[in-house]
Amino acid sequence: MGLANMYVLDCQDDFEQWREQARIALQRSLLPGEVCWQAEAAPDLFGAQSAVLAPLPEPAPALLVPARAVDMLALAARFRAPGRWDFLYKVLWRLNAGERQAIMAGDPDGAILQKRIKAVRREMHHLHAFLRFRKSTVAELDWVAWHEPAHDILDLASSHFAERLGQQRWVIATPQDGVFYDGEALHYARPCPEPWRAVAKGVRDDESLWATYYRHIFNPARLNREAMQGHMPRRFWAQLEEGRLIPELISEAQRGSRRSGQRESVASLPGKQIPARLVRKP
Amino acid sequence: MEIIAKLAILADAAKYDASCASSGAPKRSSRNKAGIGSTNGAGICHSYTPDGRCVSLLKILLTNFCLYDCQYCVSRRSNDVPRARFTPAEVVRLTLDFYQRNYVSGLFLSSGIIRSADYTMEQLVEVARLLREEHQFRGYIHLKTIPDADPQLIAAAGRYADRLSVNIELPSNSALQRLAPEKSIAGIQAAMGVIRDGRKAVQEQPARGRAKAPRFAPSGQSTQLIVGAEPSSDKVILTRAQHLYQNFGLRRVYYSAFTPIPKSPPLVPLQAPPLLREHRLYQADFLMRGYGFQAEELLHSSEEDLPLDIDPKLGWALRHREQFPVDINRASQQMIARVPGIGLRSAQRIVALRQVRAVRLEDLRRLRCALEKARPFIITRDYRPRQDSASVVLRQRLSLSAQQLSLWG
Repeated sequence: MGLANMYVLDCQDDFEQWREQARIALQRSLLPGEVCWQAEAAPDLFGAQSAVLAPLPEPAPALLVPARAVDMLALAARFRAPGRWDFLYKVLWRLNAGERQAIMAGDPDGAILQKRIKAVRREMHHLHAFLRFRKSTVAELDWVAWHEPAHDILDLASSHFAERLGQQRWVIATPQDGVFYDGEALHYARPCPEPWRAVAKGVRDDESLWATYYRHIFNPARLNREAMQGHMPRRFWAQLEEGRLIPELISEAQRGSRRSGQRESVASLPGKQIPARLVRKP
Repeated sequence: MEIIAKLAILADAAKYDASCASSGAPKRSSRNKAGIGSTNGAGICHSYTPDGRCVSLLKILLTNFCLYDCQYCVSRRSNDVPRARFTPAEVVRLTLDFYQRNYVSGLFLSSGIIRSADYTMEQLVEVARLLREEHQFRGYIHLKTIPDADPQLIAAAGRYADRLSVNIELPSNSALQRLAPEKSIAGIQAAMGVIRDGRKAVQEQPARGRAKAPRFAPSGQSTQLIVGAEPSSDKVILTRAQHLYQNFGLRRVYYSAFTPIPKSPPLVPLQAPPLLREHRLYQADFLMRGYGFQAEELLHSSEEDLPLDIDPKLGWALRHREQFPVDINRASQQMIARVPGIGLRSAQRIVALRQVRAVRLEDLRRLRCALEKARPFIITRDYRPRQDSASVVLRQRLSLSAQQLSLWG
């Protein structure tokens, strides 16, 4: 099929806009190959203006897509990948045609959908796990954080920190967007306002207590770097204080002069036995 | 001593406890409230150390001064180790600071036994009280429970903590007598019984009053068994674990491969920790908790230990060839989950898919089942095992190679 027959739409990488456009495309019975969405990063890829699909006059044909499936599409839409909106339209089209398996993990499209949902959920979890707040240097804020998520999850995942930190005020900035909590309400912005980015990136803080804890809770006799890297992807290390410590701890453990769990700096301190006479049998 | 020097000693002494879970707590939120902290049932691993272990909680001892002389323990009284003691206020300060920076989701506090079991337990409870009452901390708290402490103190701990644990450490009285003369199975199980009964009393409240009733360790109780410090077999360990699950309603039993400790006493080994054995015990434990296996099913009657070269589910299937191959399109979900290489989640997804259409081998691959392992045990629409290979041959083909085994140290 030539490009002339292809509707090129633009949803600004926004699910609600895509959903409205997709609804009209379905009602017009457009096949997945007859409509595509241009990427935010590459507008006018085909040298064409993006099309506007006019809705059909009422009554439009009813669509047969369960609400649960729409929720799944909304989640998968947060997965950053070229052609993500086209893929979602294909799944939506199949669902509307009665193919329930289009969202199941055993189906080729369903497998991709499920994989994307899983990756998005994982990335939300990564935000909750690996984000670090540092003491703010400006008076209007208590805590600031810089985080680099791989998918569009900040707006959905950041209310978690309002539950954690009560009435404290904080900012999370990312390369794409940002969120500010003023002690009472969340404010989300995309793109991230420059002042938020500046306060979040501009802090150096004393993290020596955490570094000490991390060094000492590690058990060198159980070294297992594959397990660690599987759980804590390297891309996060740069923002983590412990990221700096990992190579040193691994090489110390590998040198293996000590084959016990105790860290050398503790072993070298003077010890103290406790006299048995203090013991009273219960 | 400065707080950072204490932290070094008291974290180093806490690392031998395997548990660091922060899951299973009821939903709590500090949104628009004084104080900090939330829980929502799911645990968070805020970091991983290079041993592959999750850092979810600030896991420290209040003190490593200890009157007991447990031979497997780095803090035993006869060991010549540096000693330190936090004040309750110092632990509170560290917990709140680590929590706000998002390093951890709460505190796991344990302690050496100082003065008496009661005195030690009082100190642990005091830290939890300060956090909950003075600072309105709503994050996760796990308190170690000291066996032989007054049940009133254990009850107080249960009101503040999400989880309580009493470490049994060794699976039999004879092992405890040899290595931990101050401890006994009876004393440990008595403390577990107090926790069980405290939880039961809350659960038995009429539904209407329950929301307001004081909670009691809502995330349950756990314990730890050390593996490889003495000759107890896997059979003894798994039988003890099953007994604890059944009689004390434990949420989790943790298995901790014995790590050599400095100035090791002659009664315990010096070898590297038996990590593969620990892994097999966790697999067997998961089969008991999640799949409905009994401890007796997982070990052949003539075997004392789980084989290291194959996982326990495969071991069970090889001993029960008469129940296989299983037709994936007809068998119950429970039976599908008993197939080697197919987990609980995949079994559930297979059953959902076959309601729409017949399941083929390719579908299992897409569901990320371990096909190599599953193939000899299944029938799909387009596949049945070619010939009935002898179990010995199958085992040889599916077992870990010598090279893979050596990776486990």
